[in-house]
Amino acid sequence: MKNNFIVVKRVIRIVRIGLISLSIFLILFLFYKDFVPSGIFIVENSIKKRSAVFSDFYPPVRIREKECNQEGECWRTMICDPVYFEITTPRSFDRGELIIKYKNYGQDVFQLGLQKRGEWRFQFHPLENKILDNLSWPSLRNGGLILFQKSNDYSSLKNFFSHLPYDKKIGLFYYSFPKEIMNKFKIKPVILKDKFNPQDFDYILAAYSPPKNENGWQVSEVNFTIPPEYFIGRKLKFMLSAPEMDFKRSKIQIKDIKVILYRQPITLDNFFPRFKRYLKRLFRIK
Amino acid sequence: MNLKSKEKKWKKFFFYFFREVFIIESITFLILLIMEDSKKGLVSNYLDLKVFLIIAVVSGIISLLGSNYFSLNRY
Repeated sequence: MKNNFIVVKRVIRIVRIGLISLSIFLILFLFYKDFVPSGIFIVENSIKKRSAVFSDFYPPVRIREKECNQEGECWRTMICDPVYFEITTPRSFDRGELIIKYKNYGQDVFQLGLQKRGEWRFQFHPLENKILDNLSWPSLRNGGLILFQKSNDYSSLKNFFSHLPYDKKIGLFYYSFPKEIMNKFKIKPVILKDKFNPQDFDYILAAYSPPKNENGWQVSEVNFTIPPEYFIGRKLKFMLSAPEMDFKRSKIQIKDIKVILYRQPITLDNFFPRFKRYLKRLFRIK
Repeated sequence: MNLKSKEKKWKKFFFYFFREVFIIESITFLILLIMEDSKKGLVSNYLDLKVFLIIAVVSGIISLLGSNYFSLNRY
């Protein structure tokens, strides 16, 4: 009888150690996730898997519930402009990247907006602009920057920036020159809105990458900076907008959205001060 | 070892196991609650706190049913 008890006691001790280790591991894992030591925070909103920090799209009347085809592909259809979604971040971040997989049925302009705290103002980024995509002018590309030229005057973007055409009509799409360069222009470059006539310009300089095609879906990628005033508490509020959707009566099918947020990673040098600051904020110690 | 004693051993293990689960899960649940209270989303963004509550309650009820096994006088 006593022998039995010793065996049970030993097994129970192992169970106890196992459970305590599991709990400690779990708590440490949660702190690790929240501390974001790598400086990279990835959130996904796909039909199959939605991260808990990713809110649903709203208002619900502007976006249909999940639909699937026979191949098992699923999506949600945006039927009214605009729709919003939010991301709750564990910490603050400096910049981000958004990758969206979608199908556009006839919208010339599709864009992403990031809302400024306390104001109805958004930092916009182009996801798709059909005016630029359909422009047949010769173009030069370097990274996320593209120059369309009516007549093929420049051989490279470097050449363009070193010999800027101060007396020609330039349209700037999500790009701006520094103020001192702007002042040198005889004809002031025009900041282009979503809709414009390319024929009004000699050059169009755009910070824009056209969407790629991936298995019949369009994939757009935008990079954005996140100044502190864009954090609404710990949330980032995004807007997906196709301004002509309401009167064009067309739709956009959204399959996946992936957001990657970046901040300075934790290194051996900055670990202690940052961890101290993190704990102080966490437990509201002044 | 006769059958009765073997059965008793397993019953004992069963109730002792759930007592351990109850104590450790309850403490973990309380720590997680404090963490969630200090920063909303710290726990709930990754785990469902309800699961911990259910485990703690169920294991608590089971260990309560076998409370007579925990008496020291029995050994």
